[in-house]
Amino acid sequence: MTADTAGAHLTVVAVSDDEEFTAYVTAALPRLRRLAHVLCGDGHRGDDVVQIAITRLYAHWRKARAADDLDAYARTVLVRAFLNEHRRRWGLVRLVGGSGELPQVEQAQPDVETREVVWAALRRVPPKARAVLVLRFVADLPVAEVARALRCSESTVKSQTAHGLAALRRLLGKEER
Amino acid sequence: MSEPSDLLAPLRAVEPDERTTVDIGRAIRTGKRRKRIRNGLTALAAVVLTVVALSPFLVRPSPPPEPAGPAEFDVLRQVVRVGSAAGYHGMSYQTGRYQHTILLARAADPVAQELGAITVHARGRYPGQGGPGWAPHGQPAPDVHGRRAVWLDAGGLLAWEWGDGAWASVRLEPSFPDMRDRAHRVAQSVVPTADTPVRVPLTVDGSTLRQVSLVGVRIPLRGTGDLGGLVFASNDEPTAPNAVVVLEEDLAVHVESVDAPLMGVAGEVIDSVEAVSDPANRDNWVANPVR
Repeated sequence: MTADTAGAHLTVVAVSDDEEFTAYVTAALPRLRRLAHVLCGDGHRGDDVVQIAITRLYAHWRKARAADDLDAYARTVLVRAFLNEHRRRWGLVRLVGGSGELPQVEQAQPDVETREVVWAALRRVPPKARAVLVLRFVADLPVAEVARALRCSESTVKSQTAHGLAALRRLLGKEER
Repeated sequence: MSEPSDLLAPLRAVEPDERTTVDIGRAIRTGKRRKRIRNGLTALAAVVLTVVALSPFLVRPSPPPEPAGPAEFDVLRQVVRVGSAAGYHGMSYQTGRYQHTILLARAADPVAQELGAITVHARGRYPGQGGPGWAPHGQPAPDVHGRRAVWLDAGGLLAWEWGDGAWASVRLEPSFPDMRDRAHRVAQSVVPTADTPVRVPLTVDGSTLRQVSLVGVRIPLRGTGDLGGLVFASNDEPTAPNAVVVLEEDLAVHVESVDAPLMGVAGEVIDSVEAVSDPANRDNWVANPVR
């Protein structure tokens, strides 16, 4: 080693793709699971969607890592997984029953009853409009970001918002007269 | 008029259960497999393109190989999902090493009654199956999801190749004049899944599994009278004598059936089957029932 190179002593830690992926997903998992849970209205289905999404994310990890916003990329993969699973008629099958079939024992939380009513109504809103409402009003994303996640135009997001809100208000009995 | 954000405000506090079936390691393993397939297909496509470019009169590129159906299943994982179709829906799903069975009921019936079944066989495990190119006896039927299908001479109405070398069949009780059409629509509602774990409300003491083993689990889909079951037998063949223990809707563990050859050897296993804590809360159901 020359004096020059010895002076420029750098510590290089080789991090494999797998380690990097694992570290990222471990940190992102709570928010991915929460988003999937709200979208699906069911924790188990939500976890299934997250599993599908992170598998896809891994398969395209180098592309994902190079994205401008990795969190947005991961969110897009998750929302696409949710919509795809609906298209595959997954929504018609309940592996272990829905809330109407089995009693759910909830932890004591404020306003659980209201939450269940809103959730039941939201589950009846068509999947794409549901995704728009959740991303805009639960995840607080701007219209442009929602359009990116759903790979559609901003005007589509706005129209889906209007349709989704109208459906939700109707289902909740809050229709304007 | 309420603000949109107020309307959905109750969902802001939603937090998923700390327990999760999400498995990063499994995502990596499955992702690697997919990348290998994708890279293999890309390489194959490149080779084919090169050969075609160099020898346009010599070769016609063959389609890329499709993944073969699995030679055996994991009894703790679901391999297909079944939608509602042609007036039928799935009642229950039973796994096994060589076949998975979905019992069907009519959607319109107020009390679910088994009126048919879908049987999904592992690669090479359809009864009487021969080598490559083999098909069950019967007349050609319209494709199912682009794959070969046959109107069966016996053993059901329709069979189709759901994975390379892996066949499934639909059986329906004759109730309508258009049973073939209905069977075809039922088959189209069967979609392979990406290795979905099952969850059951029962566990069995693993130390008792000596002469018999856990060869399958049953999960409810819709309208069954039980919340799930465990199937025990001395071998994995679908026709082997078995014992089935279920958790009834009233949360009682119940021995549904014990075939005669197992009477003397399955007692200890059956006695060790227990419901999970608070089985009415499906968050407590387990992906691996062997404790």
